[in-house]
Amino acid sequence: MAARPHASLAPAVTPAWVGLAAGLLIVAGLGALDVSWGSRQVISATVVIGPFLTALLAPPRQTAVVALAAVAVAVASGSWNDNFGDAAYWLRLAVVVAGGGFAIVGAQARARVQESRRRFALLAALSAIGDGTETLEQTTGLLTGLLVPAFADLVVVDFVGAGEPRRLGVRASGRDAAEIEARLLQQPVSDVAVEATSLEGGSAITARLRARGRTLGAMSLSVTEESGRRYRPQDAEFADVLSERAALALDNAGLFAELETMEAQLSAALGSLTDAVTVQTRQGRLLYANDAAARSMGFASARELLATPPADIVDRYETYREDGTSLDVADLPGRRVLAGEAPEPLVLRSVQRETGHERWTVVKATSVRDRRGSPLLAVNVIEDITEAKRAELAQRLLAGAGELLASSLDFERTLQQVAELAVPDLADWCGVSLPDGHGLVRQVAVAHVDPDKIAFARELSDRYPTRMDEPAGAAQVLRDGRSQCLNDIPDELLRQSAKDDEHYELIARLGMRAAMVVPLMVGGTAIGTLTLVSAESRRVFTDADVQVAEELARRAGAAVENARLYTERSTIAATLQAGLLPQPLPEMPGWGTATLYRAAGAENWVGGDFYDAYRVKGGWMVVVGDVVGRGAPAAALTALTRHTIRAVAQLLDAPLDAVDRLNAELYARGGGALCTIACAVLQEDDAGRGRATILCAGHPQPVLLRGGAAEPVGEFGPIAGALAAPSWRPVTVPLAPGDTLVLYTDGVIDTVGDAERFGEDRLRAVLRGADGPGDAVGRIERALLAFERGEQADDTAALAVMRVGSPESPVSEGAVDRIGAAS
Amino acid sequence: MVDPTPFSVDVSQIGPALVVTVSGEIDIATVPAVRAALDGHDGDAGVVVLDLRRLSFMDTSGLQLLVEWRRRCEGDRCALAVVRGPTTVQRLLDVAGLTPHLWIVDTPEEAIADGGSTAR
Repeated sequence: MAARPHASLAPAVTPAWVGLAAGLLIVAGLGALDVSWGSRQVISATVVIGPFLTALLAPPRQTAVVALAAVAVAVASGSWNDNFGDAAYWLRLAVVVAGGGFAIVGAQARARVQESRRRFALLAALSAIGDGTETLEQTTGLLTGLLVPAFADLVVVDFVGAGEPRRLGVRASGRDAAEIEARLLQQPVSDVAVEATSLEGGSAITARLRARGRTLGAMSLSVTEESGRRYRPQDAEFADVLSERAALALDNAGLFAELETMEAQLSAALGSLTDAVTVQTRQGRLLYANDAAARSMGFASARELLATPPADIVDRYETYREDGTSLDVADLPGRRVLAGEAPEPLVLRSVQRETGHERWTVVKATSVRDRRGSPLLAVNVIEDITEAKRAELAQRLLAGAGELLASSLDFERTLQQVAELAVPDLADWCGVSLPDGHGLVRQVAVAHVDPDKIAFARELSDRYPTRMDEPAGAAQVLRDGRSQCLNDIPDELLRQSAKDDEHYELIARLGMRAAMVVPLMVGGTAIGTLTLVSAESRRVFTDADVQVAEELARRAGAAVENARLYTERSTIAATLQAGLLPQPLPEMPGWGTATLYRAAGAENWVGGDFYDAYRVKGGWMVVVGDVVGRGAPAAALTALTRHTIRAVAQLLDAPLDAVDRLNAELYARGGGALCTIACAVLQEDDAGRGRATILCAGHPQPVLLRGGAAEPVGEFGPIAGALAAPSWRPVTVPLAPGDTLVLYTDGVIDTVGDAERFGEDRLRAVLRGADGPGDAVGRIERALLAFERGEQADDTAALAVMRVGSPESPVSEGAVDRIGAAS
Repeated sequence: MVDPTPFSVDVSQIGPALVVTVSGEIDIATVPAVRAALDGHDGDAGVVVLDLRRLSFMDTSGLQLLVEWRRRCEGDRCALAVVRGPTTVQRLLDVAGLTPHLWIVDTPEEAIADGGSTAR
């Protein structure tokens, strides 16, 4: 565990023997040259070069040897130079002796410089270790590795921490290093009390390890005979400085060791936590992880996780923020804490690239700071909220779907919104398909995370629609109503399901990883499919996802059904209304007519007002009616009413008996089906005189305009559909040319104005002096427009019929006169 | 709007009689509330009183409700009493030809005292 430093601290110097040998060779060579030249050329003084060279390369001792050799050669040179005792001899000898002396002094100076440089480097290296992120053992290993062999051949570090003294580290050099280390490590530590750093006979220094006022232990430094080194008093002083630094490094590590002890205790607790906990260093390395963390990141054990490089762990996942944007590693709370920030907990969605499993987590990070207050470690607590998130997502999706259902009855729009709900939370794209009734399944809605791809998805579905008889896929889901979910879609499957090469290329371009097709169920029948695809996000679908999708599809199915019913209803209502109301009345020879119809409210509030005119035995019948109620039921009832009266009246000799039939028909349908009717049978006698027989069934009396006056005519009778056997009393009035009968529904008199309703009195006042049917209904319309305030609740219908005169009778001339007189 | 009286429905049980008093207007929009109040009647023999005295307007929706309850009481052995409303309301009943076919009283007490024998 103790890491040895990579490079020895000792500067790379030439071995001492090289300097020695070089010096001796020079001395010997020059000596030999001097011998060979004899007295002709005397160069004996040059041997002094030898010690100088050695001084540059080797320690003082070797320099001294070479210097002695040079002196010896200089002394002996007298014999071959034949100059013993003369002045030149002595001079040369003196030069060599002095030069040798200088060389030795120089070598010593150089050795001191080297020594202090080495020691400075040693101190610097010592300061660099023990920043608190290494364990006590690691720090000891680094420490002893620095000291051996730079300053000692054997280092023993004994430590007294919180408990018993123990041997923290041993480092030896030389041949038997391993054996010595093993033996010394086994040795029991009895006493670490050291008063002060002391030198023991030149071969050992014992130094006290003391930091922050606390004795941590002792460090013994020894040199061996093998290395030939000896400690001098100044080495003991240096050892004192060294031990101070070492003690600081160990103390820092010791504090960390305390943390570690705590960690060991916490580890059991953290290990049993369901939340994942990791501790990371400034360098991004994971220092600790509990089993939950390992499991959640897809590792078998915390050990395996810790052994994995951080970058590899990060690369395993595709990570997104809650809003779906992708996340930079630097923004992870742990990294931000280490950068000195105080980040908020972060909600993350991560998809494991390999498996496609999706996880939601909340990551919280806090920092462990060093004494200077800068962050040292980040402690991450990673809470898995996948379940909660899924539930929330499901709830949100379904609530959203519910709102859509409530808000819109346009089902294609609703389905589009359902598709958009599912993206991107549930899938990268979502399509809704419905059978088109001609053997194909058509995509009616599509949503994609990338809006640019929507057109592509549409094109794909348009060019290659699904056929209802296909054996698999959406067609199968439509047939059996069972969901299909496919993860890690293999390429072969795409090839199989593709209709041709181009189709294959198109679907391959989608980059699908997983797909679900779930049925839109309505009453146990699949009426369409919801397809959800995972591509860009690389996630796979779980059973829970399928459930959410099914629930969403159920809501979508209800939307389709509701909308379909509604559409049918409103279509029926509109059709009925269109068929019932705005048709022009037939030409009625001898009679002039005009009509008014004003619909109230929206499409689904189709009222039950109607008017009609047709030939009956002996004349014409005009009808104005109002079916009680609104919407499709009223429209349907209106159709029934109108056609019953018309058909029966045209068949019977007494057309007004049609009201009896209508009553029976409505009464038989239960309490709700009521209709007010005012009808008049218009006839002319043999003399060409016109008359009207008027019947009111729960209806306001028609108004007869005659001679500028406007009076109600007819007698009230029971509303049709209310009573089992009612009876009516028709009233017959003669109609002279120009006489106008106005039939209207209660929408006219119930029209709401500023302070009150329009009322019968106001109606009669408006109609007084009206000039013919067109003028009569025109007056009503203008008066209502001026009078009404706000949206009216009821339809308005009016029919005016004027006696023009018998087509064959010249009386019509007179009628024109009389009309003229009346106006 | 025409009617300053806000729409409201009051329901009270006086002995065996259910008295439903409607204020304001009965039309397509308000008739469901009146219908719901009348549905509070348990269907047992007794008098159902619909008090129209504080009514300012009624349209055919109200007629529909009256006809519906008239028929229902025929089956349920209960009696529907209508407390006479203002002229406009009575006019509607006249127009609808229903006045002779309804048990019309002047006060709820009158109907309760009678116990429905008149209607039956």
